[in-house]
Amino acid sequence: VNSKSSSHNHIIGSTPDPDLLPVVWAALEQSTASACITTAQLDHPGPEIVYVNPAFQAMTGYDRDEAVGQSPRFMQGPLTERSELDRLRSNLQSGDPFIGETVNYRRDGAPFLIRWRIDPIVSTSGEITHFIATQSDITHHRRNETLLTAIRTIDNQVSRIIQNPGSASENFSSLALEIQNAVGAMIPYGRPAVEAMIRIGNNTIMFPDRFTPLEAPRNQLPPQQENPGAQWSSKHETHTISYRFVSPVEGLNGVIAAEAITPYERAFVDNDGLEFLASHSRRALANLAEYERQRHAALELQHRLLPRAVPPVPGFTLEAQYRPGAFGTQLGGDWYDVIDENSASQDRTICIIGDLAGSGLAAAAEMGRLQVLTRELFRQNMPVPKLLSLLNEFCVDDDIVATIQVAILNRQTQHLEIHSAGHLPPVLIRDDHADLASITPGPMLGVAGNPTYPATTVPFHQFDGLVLYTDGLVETPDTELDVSLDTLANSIAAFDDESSDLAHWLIEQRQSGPPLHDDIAVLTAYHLPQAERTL
Amino acid sequence: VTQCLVSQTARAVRATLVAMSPSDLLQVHTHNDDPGLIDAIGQIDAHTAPHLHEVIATVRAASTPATSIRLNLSGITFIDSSGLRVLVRAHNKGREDGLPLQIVDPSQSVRRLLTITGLSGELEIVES
Repeated sequence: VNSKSSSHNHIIGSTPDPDLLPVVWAALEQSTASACITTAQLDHPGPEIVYVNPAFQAMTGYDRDEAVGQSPRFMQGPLTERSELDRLRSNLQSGDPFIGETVNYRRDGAPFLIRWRIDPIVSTSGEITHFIATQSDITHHRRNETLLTAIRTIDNQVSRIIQNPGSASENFSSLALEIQNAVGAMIPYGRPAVEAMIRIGNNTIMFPDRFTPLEAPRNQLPPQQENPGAQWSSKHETHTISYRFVSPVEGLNGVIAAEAITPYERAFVDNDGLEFLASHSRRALANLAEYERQRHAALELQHRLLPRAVPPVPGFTLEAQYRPGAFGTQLGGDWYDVIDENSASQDRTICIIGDLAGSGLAAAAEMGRLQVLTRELFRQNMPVPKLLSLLNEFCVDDDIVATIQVAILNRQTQHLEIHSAGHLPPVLIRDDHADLASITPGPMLGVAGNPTYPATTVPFHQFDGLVLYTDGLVETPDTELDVSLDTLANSIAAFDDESSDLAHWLIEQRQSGPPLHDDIAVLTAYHLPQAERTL
Repeated sequence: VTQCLVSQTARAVRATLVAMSPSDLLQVHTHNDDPGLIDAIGQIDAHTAPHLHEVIATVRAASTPATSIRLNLSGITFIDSSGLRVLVRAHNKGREDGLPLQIVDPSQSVRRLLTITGLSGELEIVES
């Protein structure tokens, strides 16, 4: 049925110029774009191929004599989308051009993705007599595009994890899930699957929770079909494609897979791309493992440098908490320490809190040196201002920048002596109030020159309390520091949770707020002989 | 094809890194006609502090004559201990090599942190 095309913007056919005909023919024959001309018969048995050019023959593997006389359907197969063909038909019936993508099959049975355009050929009388289809093989283009997207998805997930990490197993699972999504995007058939296992320290983390290693890779192609159309019904047999990645060095073992794939789908899978994705996934998981290992090692070191438990001291109740930062291996800077001196000459408890600027293992190691040195200088009974000057010289020489605060609780005089080198003011709890101590800080440690460190002395009676903390507890880019400090004092005044200790509670409070980048140490002291606390 | 793909991937990864550069949070400008002057605008934190440190080191190492490093911090909205470390290091280095650090027009939040950490008495702070 040839339709009139008056309502469409077709170029109306013109009378052929006999002089130009050979040139036009040669151009069509020698074009590198694949072209196929069919009759305009849309109803059964459908259009018939009347001409294909050599570029078409090269793309499909069919010779001209094999193609001519056939319906274009002869190149379709199980993966050809029916809906796309229906759209084609309805477009052409209404005289519209058609642009679409679908899977076609070469003569040897290999599927390929084509983008095609079909235009009506209109005679001088305005009648559609034929269709011309130009096709391009976009298989490689589409595969590269899909692979790049998949790789980007995985890389973005690694960035997200490092910027806002959870526990090691949460991080690992979220990356494995994203890899599974990437596999799913690469193979839109069957079920994508990822199984992976990684060792970090003494822990083995698995995804999914139960790791059942797949057997040897079953990624051989099914035998090629001479004519895929003849085998369309055998859809029961399914395949698993899998790529294993094992790296004893990185403690990594896993496999990416797609299950329940029909032989036709199997033949259309981008094997090289999947292999590339598997090796990229291995690198991403190995990088994550390396990151977790550094984090784990720095944490381990930090926990060994800090006192395991704050020692019980006569007259005071002390509690301390440390929480590592979330950003990367951002830990290792904060520390606390308690020294109790209970002799005839000195009857006091020394609370120390400090924050060394820096992160990772280097900061943890520097913090350890500073902590040991501070302890040793106290053991030598050195006056605190002189002690701070010595620490400052040590920091300048070793290129360390740190803050430190020393609070000396004197049991005899019932006074509290505060020395601060650039550290945020402590909070004093008295009656129902909690206030920032009004102190004059000396400069932070590590500043060249001859700085001095003034002391502040305040009464510290029974039931009074003291909170030392590091800046991770209060500093956020979105809030003025003074506002954060006031908020801290107010929340300490309001604290009445009998089930928790104040240090622990403060860190919990902070963690429920904006994302935590810095680490936090909190050390609290109450002038109370018993374990109970009263504000 | 693989080769082409690898280089495409490398480009994509580089593009991601550039997009995530700390320069989104901190911009540091130097001036050809005033080699000792550095303007810093934005936030100085653990992410961005290394960039500022590098720029200061570059200005310090440049052959163009400067008698001091003047760091304009009027456009800083946030600074944390990582940022203070950069300032303290630049201050210490300046005492060694005779190119002292001056902090020019610090913003309110910088000024507040310098006071609370006892640095305002140690670092040289000037008004432009």
